[in-house]
Amino acid sequence: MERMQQVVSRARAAFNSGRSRSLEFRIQQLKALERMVQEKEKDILAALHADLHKGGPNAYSHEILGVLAELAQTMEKLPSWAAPQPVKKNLMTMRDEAYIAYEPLGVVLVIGAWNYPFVLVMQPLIGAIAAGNAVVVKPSEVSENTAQLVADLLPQYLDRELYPVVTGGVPETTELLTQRFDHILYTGNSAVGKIVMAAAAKHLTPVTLELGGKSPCYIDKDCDLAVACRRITWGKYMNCGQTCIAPDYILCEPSIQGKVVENIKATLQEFYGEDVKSSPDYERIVNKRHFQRVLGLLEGQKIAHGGEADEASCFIAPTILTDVSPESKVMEEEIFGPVLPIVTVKSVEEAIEFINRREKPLALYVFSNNKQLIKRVISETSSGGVTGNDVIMHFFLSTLPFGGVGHSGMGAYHGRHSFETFSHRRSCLIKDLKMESTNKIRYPPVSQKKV
Amino acid sequence: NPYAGLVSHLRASWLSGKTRPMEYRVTQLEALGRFLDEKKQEILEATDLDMGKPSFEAYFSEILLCKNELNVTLNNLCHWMKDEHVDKNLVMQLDSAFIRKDPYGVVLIIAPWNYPFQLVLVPLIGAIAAGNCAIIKPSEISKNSERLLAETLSCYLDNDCFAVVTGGVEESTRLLENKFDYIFFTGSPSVGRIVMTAAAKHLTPVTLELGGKNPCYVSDTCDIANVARRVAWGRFFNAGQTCIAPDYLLCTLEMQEKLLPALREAITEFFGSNPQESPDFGRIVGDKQFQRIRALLHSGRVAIGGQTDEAERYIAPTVLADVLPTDPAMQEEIFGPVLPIVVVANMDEAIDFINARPRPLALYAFSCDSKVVNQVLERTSSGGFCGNDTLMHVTMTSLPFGGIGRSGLGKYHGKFTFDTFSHHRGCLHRNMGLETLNAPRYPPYTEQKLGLLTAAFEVKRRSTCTVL
Repeated sequence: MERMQQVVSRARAAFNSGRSRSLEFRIQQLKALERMVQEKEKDILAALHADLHKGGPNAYSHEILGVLAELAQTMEKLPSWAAPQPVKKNLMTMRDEAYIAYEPLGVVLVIGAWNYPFVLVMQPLIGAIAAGNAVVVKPSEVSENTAQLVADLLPQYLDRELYPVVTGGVPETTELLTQRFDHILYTGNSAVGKIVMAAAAKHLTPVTLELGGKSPCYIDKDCDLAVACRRITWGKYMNCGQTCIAPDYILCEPSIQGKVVENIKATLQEFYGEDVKSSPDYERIVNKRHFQRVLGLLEGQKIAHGGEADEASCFIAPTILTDVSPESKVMEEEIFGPVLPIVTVKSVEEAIEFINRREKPLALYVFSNNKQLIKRVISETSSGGVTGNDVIMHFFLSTLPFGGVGHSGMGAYHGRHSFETFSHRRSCLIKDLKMESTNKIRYPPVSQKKV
Repeated sequence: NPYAGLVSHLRASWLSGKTRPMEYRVTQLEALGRFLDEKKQEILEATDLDMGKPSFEAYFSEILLCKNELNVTLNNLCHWMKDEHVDKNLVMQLDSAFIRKDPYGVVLIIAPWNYPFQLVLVPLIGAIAAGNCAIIKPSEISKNSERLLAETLSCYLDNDCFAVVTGGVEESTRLLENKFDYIFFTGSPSVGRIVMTAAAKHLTPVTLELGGKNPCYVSDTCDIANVARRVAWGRFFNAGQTCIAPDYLLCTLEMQEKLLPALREAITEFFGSNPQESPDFGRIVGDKQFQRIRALLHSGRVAIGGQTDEAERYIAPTVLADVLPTDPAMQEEIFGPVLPIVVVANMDEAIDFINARPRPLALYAFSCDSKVVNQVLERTSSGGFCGNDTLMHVTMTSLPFGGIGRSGLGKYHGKFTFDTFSHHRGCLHRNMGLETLNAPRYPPYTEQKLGLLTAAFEVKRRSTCTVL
């Protein structure tokens, strides 16, 4: 366990040497990362396939495309992001230099998750490097092939002392969390999020917690159901439902429930063919434990479609549940699987109330032809982010901050927001040592006229 | 849980949506403005009773600065509340993409005793502006200020949405058991840890404005008289009880000898030959703090001041020379009118000294040579920095105010307070039509579709910029 302390001390010494601070160095490291992704594409895709049964073009578009885009954008914009920002001055500081300087925080810890094991380590890493920090990377042990790959590859391309990879499970992570970091970005569930924040509190370390929850999806009567359902099906069943921003459950009026089911069924056919199990584009549940957990949620439910499962391959068919009770198990925890419950509500008011009674979700979705209705749902609820008339997509616009609120997390990243998350904004005021006469009005002794 | 009722009452008000409209927020903010105007005398009296705060200082730091924040907020609220539209990528050109500023809900503001009004009101202004409900917990140590806030704020603000809770450690601990949607804490690092640990149980985000020892480096090339005045002003304001006060001086032996007479002269200019009689010099807030600071005087040698009067909790403006890093005055944040001078050989040694210690809330460097000021700035880390003056960087509402590492996390003042108390919600409002554009993303996955997606999503690197 001393190992953790050594790794972190080495990273801190490397940071203190100052070499990660120059823009040239940072861009050089980012370029190396870019080369790594391009040169090792096959290995990365193989690891993702081994961990999640994720097919080539699918894995590429979800895990590699985004990373390359983030790298390109970051390298291009870094000089402008890192430049000191002059600020508006007041009367007393008219002749002074006043600006905000962006500085690295120091040693950052990035803890990844298993569901998008490559991108959820890479995107934070890119931002942390861009901001000039040393970064300790801890990929999730659950996606073991990707974790091992990251541990093998990063040292081949990046500065080994500044950006070490630590592998292991709960004991190793617990030990790691006793060390002092200058920022921790954790992606995972709320229960562990609390543990991470409590550990961070001991060192007064700021945290970004990308957690989860049940992301609601409200379908209005007035909408193009075929389109809506196709988009929902895509977002729900990608990665076998193991997506933090998947539409977790549907809220709609009873009158359209049947049509919703029909449309989703038709779309599933279009996407995965007759025999889902043999589609190369349909993933598997990551392990037996989660397989059991998700399967257990089906107990006592009305299965309108799907329900088939095969433990040996951790296969669960795309499943739809209808007339689900808000009190049932499937409506208690984040599903994180290919099971889509439909809860009926009488109106949009009831939907809004339903959503507000529960913990704030990471994402919120609303489908309607009525722009006003969409605006209303957004205004009367709270969530990490929102996509109207689609799902997932707000994740792919890096100018939008990506993060949760309440139980779904705190802080945000992506694009420039990553750079800012991993930087310290230091206020700087540089005055003239002369011009003392202007200061005299503030010194004692005081006469009324000074005020 | 004695506060459960209060918290759920505020939460119900929050859920009713009444704090969301701009008009409501403006009304509450204007009421705060009236509080500052109508209760000005009472505020000055309360801080005088609590720590002998001179009325000039109280007016400047507790009323004027708050009014500035209020006016900046009222002038800009409409603009701050607006959805911030963001640049879109190719695929989303026909969509609406914006950042919505959502209130968090029910927030908790915990304030310390040294600027008992400012450190309640400036966060509160931002919390109200951002549309939240708030519980305010002023410090029990500044008891007259606490009483004034508890008794009068409720006459100005909507009691369904804003409440003041009084009490000590016990009450604060019980209060922190409740779930809040944001906690804003100003105080010591050790209590900061307790607050963040309590917040972690509910996954409540926090801003912690803490403290530490703010170093002040004085180079050999400087206008000594001006340095002495600016440093003395910053150190002795509020009898040294300021989180951003210059805590200790670093300079060469030669400079120490030149500074001492200059500091003596500045102190006399400010407070007369007997500062105890000056109406412009404050007192220590309580007996415990008085005794703590008095014990620190056994450091180096007393070059200026050193007199104390326990009955009045008076400690004279004091400068300690030849202080060693091992002396008592260098072991903790002084928070009193005592300025230790630690002798260093040169700027490099000063920088190493600073970097060997926890990162401070503020850092000061004085030199006529701007290269020296910039060197100190670039080779250190701190919450904020002021070259050739003290304290002034926090009077600018356009500069974020906050710490780093042990001196804190988060920042506020001006728009930064509004942003602190808002959840920045990424929103993408898409077109229901044009479904064909989405086709490449759907299974069955093919290389051809991937090619289309890549073309649509990728960011092509422009020619490398060699000028960095």
